[in-house]
Amino acid sequence: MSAATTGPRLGLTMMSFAREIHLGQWDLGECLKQAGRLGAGTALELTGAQSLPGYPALLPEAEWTVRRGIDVHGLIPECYDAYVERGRRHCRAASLEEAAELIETELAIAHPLGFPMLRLNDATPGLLAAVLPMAERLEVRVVVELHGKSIRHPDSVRLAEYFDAIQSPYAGFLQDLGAMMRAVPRSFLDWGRRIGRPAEIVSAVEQGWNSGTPLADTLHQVSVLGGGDVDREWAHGCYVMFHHNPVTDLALVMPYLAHVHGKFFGIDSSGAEPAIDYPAVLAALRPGGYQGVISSEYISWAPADALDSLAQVAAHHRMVRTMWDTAAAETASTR
Amino acid sequence: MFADDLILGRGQVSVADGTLTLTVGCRLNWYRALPVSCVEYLAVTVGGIRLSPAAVTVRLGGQQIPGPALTEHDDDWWAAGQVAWLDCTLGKRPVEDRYQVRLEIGTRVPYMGPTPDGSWRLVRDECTAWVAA
Repeated sequence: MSAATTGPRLGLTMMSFAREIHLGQWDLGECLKQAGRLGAGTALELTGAQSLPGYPALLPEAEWTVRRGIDVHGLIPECYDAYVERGRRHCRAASLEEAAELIETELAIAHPLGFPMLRLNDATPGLLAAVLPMAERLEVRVVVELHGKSIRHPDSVRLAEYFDAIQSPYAGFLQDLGAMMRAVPRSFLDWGRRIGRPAEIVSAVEQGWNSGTPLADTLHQVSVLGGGDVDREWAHGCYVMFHHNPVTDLALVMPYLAHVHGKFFGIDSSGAEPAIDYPAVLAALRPGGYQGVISSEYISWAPADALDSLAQVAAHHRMVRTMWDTAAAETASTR
Repeated sequence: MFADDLILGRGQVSVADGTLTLTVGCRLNWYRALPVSCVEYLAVTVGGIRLSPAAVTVRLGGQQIPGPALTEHDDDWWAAGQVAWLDCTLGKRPVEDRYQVRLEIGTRVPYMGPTPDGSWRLVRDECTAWVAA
């Protein structure tokens, strides 16, 4: 296994190892070691709340483990993932000022770990205005993830206008490719059946999502089929995680694009990810001049006795590299 | 993502003053650490009998938290992969080799909200497993 030498830099999010982490099979040091098997120069992205023992504090031993793992395994710290969590306290939503303090705490973790970028799941211009002074002082770029909200969502449009206005090199977007899917992943459907969702409900949710049926109508159909709260929760999760936006949206994102989550759900035997049109994605990124990282983010529902996360990430890297080179060859042949 | 792995297969039983307590290990139904107060509900059913919330005590990170008090713990965290031990008071029942345990857990996702009605998205999971004593 080796990191890409041409095209975008490749990396991974530690979310790819979520199953191993959840089952207690891999601790932080082991995750870094496994990431290193992808090759020197692999870009590293981690979520403090997932990977760091002692979170939300940065314990000295956790800092040492990350820094040593980066050095020993030849990883390149790329992005630290944080969340704007206004609901950490029961029955009370955090104010803007309190939310900004949470993000400043995350910046104070990302910086000593060597991460030059901090990702937020969502943000408003007001929140960014509050945290950017600290980010600029630390030279950490704050990027807002486009996933549940597309670049055409009014909130994203406001952010883009804000980026245009401030012209800061320390702000931008992260595009999660889970925003641009064309089918519900097979692995998600298999998992649904495995945990007891009735087959007819699984089929209804799959057909509903794939055909663009609104969530409310799909939930109604689940109820008609006799589904209960947990069935509706599973269906709701499908619509929260997977989104239908067109790949052509990338042209709108490109001026602000700092980082890409190469979301995937299982590379098949032909070396492809059926749920996302990766050839179209890479064909859009390449001529757009994307110079950042594609950070493989494997979402696994594999059974505990059949985990394959590292192999999946390696397969995703091979797929991206091959498709990028193909797109390059096609561009050259048309000149 | 984790509904089939929430309950550990190996538990423990103890008897004091004729009262049986089954201790069951469980994991959080989320992929990263959350404040304990995000666990909005946690219900345990043993052998088909649903326990009252007060019959479950959660041992986590050196603390013992009564089931109904989980939402009071904003500043204590439940980490990804960390096992919480649920001490389930079963009353005067015979000791068995294994118990069928059903866990229902609803966890507030602290970045998904608040909705216009002030609520937050709950991730609900159910898991049933045989727990060896």
